[in-house]
Amino acid sequence: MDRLVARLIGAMTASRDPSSFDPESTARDLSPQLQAVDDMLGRQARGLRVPAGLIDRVFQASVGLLPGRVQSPQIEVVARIGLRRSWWSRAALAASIALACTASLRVVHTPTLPQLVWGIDAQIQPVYREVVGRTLSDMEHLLVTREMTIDDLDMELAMLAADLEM
Amino acid sequence: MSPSNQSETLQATLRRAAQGDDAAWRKLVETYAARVFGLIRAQCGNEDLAQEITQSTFCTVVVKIAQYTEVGKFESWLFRIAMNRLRDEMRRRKRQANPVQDDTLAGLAGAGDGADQTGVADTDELRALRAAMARLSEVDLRVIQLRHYGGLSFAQIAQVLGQPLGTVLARQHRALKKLRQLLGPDEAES
Repeated sequence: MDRLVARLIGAMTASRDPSSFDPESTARDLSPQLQAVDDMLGRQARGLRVPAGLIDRVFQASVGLLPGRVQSPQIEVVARIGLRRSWWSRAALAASIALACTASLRVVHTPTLPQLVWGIDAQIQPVYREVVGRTLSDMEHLLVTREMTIDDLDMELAMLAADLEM
Repeated sequence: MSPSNQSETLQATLRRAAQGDDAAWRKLVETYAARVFGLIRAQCGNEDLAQEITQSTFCTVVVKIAQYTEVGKFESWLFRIAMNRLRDEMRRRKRQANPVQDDTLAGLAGAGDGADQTGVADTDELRALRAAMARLSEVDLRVIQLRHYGGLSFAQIAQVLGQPLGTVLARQHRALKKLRQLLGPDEAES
């Protein structure tokens, strides 16, 4: 470990341009013993079998969701509406009056901007609290039961923070 | 192809996919689905679940692709989505006390009984390696899995895990050293 740290510091300080530091080459610079273990891991990973047809299944399941590909269902006329024109005009008039009344009532009770923001916030906060609360309670349980180390907790918290940022 | 050309090609492919181009999307699926599957398979030890998570990951990505702006972090973004999907599924199964849970959790820790836990044909060498991997801490194991099964660079692993690059490099070194100790000199150099 000390050798690695010394090598990292050496690599970073020896370079005039810090952006030219290449972690890949530094990490590849392993002792022959560790390189052998790394090679074994590589062999194991390369030997993994991908199930036949996986690519096609994944493609078929997702291609319909591409932007611009989600089509609205077509409305088909299954029968001719044979109602009398006068009935339709009365129904349309009644619907217009109902719509106008509803709209005017909503205009009278239009909330101010702070009320709107508070309303949205009030809807989001419980969901946010539930998700984060659940994750934290999981972590607490795992820590108490010693199923999780402090390192794991540190990584979980870092990932949770990154998720919230996303 | 040089890294800058690869990056430009990926950027162009992502742009075309975001515009609804089937062929571009197919190319992305062909390039990354096997890697996502490999990583998730190694982490959960369950082939069916790994396929399910892979499919769900790409469905999530395709829905968000129009809003995504490529700044060289597509792979980190993709693998993070996959790992989050797996984590959520494991939590859900744990809460529901699903009978599959024990096997799957053992797989998540990298434990193997030699029964083809990672989908790789068994040999003594690989059985020993899997047993040794089961004794790594989860954080160290994740670095190894992202590196070898996900095929990510160390910088990308740092992005996926939200950890500094130096920490990731140190963890990989620590993990290799521990594996070597556990395997013994003969096994590690065979």
